[in-house]
Amino acid sequence: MIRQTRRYPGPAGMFALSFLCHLVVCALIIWFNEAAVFTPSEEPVTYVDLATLPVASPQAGTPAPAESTPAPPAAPTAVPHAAMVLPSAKPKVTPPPPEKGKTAPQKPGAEEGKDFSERMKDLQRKAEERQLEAAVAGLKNRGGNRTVGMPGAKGTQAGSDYGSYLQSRLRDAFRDVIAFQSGTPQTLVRIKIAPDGHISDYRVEKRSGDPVFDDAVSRAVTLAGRTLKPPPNGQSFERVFRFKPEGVALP
Amino acid sequence: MGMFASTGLVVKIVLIVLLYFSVVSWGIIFYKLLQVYRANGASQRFMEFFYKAKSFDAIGSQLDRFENSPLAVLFQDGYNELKKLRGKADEKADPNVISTDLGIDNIARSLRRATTSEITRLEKYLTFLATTGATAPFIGLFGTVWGIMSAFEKIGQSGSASLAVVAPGIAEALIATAIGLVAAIPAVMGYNHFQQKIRVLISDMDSFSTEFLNIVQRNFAGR
Repeated sequence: MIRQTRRYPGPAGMFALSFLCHLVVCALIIWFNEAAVFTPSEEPVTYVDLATLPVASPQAGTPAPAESTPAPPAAPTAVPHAAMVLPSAKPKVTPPPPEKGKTAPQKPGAEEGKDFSERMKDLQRKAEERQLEAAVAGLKNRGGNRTVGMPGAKGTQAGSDYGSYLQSRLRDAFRDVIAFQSGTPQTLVRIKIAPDGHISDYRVEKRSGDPVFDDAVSRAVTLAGRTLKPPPNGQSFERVFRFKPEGVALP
Repeated sequence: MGMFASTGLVVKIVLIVLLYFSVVSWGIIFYKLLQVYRANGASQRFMEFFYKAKSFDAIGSQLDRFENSPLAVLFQDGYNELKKLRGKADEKADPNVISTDLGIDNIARSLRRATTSEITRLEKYLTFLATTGATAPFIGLFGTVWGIMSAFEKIGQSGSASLAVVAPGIAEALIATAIGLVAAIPAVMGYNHFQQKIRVLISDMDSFSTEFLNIVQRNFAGR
């Protein structure tokens, strides 16, 4: 009989296939959710110290040198003025009559004008050199450390220490994941950064009592920890941060 | 997955039920796709063979080649009934002549029974697809309503109604409706598709029954 000889795979096999397909789809969804977490490209943060920024000099149109720098001489501005009174036209006005038996005059006016021009050029060159030296000295006096304001700084410069950098990274991450149920929750978190820039220890010093907020804090720390710069001098760094709905603060 | 873990117990149960509906529905869809595809292919090949064959005996000896065809089942039942009638007639006088009144009716009844049996086999499990298509969205909606109720309860307890508090609860609740629709849409589409395919197969079986009876009456019925 045909009915007895039919060899369908049967619904049980198809249910197993369907179950496998669902597992695969679930795995793909989970993987996609994990992979699609928004990770903004981290640009190096540069802090500009507005307090000691050089002020533009209205006279020269360039940044003014530091206080110890002497003012540039007015020689460059005097050059065109001096050139206008060059006595080069003098010989034309009163040429003395030549006398017989004497050698021809050596055109003293022209020589004098030439000397004056050379001296002015010399003065101008010296003034420029002094101006350049003053600018270099001014830059040196500002502190030659080029890492000022950078994450790799020593942490002694105003507004540029590693703690502030860490705080800003945490604040940015916290802004993305913040959620809370209670009114004004606050969570104190101690974070230790390993020399390689990874979070080596993370402890909640004081819970807020709002599980949603505490969870958001935890996620913010995890999110920020993905793209941290290593602490300066190859040492570990540890600090306590206070997370509030308004942001992240240093206690 | 995190969203699933953070939902309440009722919503979790709803999601598991919907997942079960989805798994079984897709299993039935795969099974029916294979069954209908094979039935159509085998029926076409059987009909070609049927019109080329010179005798019922020749067809009857080759039926194993068309095991998935409902038409082959019809032929087998009709042919068996015909053989019985011919055997009975053999006892009387002429083996090639069967009674018009009783013999044809017997074969017709046999074909009708085989047709009904094949329709039942083809339509098996389709009711589950119809049930899933009709009920899964409502089950999902129930989960959503329950989840939103729970979310509002939590909001009332916390005393804060900011978007950060309201949105996660509602998002968790809405996942139940989404899963309900995910289970229902393929089930409804599969049900309609297979209904149409089975209707064509039923039409083919009716045509074949008529053709078989015509041949029997032309060649075997007594006058």
